Amino acid sequence: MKTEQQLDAMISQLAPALEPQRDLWPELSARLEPRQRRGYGAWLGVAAAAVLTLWFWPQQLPLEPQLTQNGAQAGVNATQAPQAQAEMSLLAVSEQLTRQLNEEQTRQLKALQQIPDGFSDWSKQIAIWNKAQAQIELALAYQPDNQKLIQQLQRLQQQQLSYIAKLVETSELT
Amino acid sequence: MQQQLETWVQQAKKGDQQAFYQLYHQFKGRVYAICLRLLADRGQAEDATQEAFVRAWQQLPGFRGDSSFSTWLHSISSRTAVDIWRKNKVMRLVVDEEPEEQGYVDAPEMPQLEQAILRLPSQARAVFVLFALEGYQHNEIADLLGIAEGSSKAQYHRARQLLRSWVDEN
Repeated sequence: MKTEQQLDAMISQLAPALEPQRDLWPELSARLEPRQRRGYGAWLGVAAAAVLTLWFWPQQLPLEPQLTQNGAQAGVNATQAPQAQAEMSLLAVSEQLTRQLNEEQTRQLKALQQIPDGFSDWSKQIAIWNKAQAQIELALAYQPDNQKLIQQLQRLQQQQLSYIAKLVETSELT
Repeated sequence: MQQQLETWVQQAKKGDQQAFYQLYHQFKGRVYAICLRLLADRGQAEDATQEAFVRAWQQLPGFRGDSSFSTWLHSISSRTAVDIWRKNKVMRLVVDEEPEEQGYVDAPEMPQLEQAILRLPSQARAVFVLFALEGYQHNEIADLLGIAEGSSKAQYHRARQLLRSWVDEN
């Protein structure tokens, strides 16, 4: 029988690695799921969808006046009031979302390690869009039903999102 | 080499499967060794090796580098092999098989001690591999294998005794 010391010596000489008899990689690699990239692209898509949904929703609410016992006019007023209230609250939510979106955009853009050529003045560009949007929002506070203003604001937001998406896309390619 | 390893780890964390392949290539032998010694079955050891790397891939984004990648991967590998070992234990209880007959691998190309380890009874082998080769403490082994700490110590001494006698035979 081997002594304890002899056994310890044999243990210390065991190979740290043993080779499997078959190639395990093909089956293994088939089980590796692509990493979920919660990158700028996905985030921008979600943000854009949220903003646009909030904008289009109140404009597409069905305008179907309902008659009540007090007469047609009263019925129309009764349905318009909650609708106007809904539009106002949606406008407030949308403005809040826009502000958060802008803050998040700026934070994430600052986190970009390498700004691609042609985008060096990105912060200035974003500031111009933000300023323009703020002016339209101010006007909307006085004329919340003004469709032209709403469309203008939508266009600006879309332009801004497209610009950032392009910046991120170019950044990821470089 | 260390720097290259860190680069592969960082790339794999970002989802680069080529970099992960390099890590696999670098560590597959060590992971397989843990799995084979614990399970004493080539097929199960291969499955466990694959499973360990799949888990490593899944958990890699959370790897902060507090320990070395090698240590981290060893831990995942041991736990993966132990999970399979525990399933086998349940199966043994269900089919009422004799544990002494489990896991023997005919491996004449292997060194004498390696072969003897694979011949050990299942629980004694698991304790021996985890304590003597992987550096776990008896209380940790007790938690991992679901046994009492005293049993872990007893099984370790039993394993050593068997190994000393078997190696001496040949």
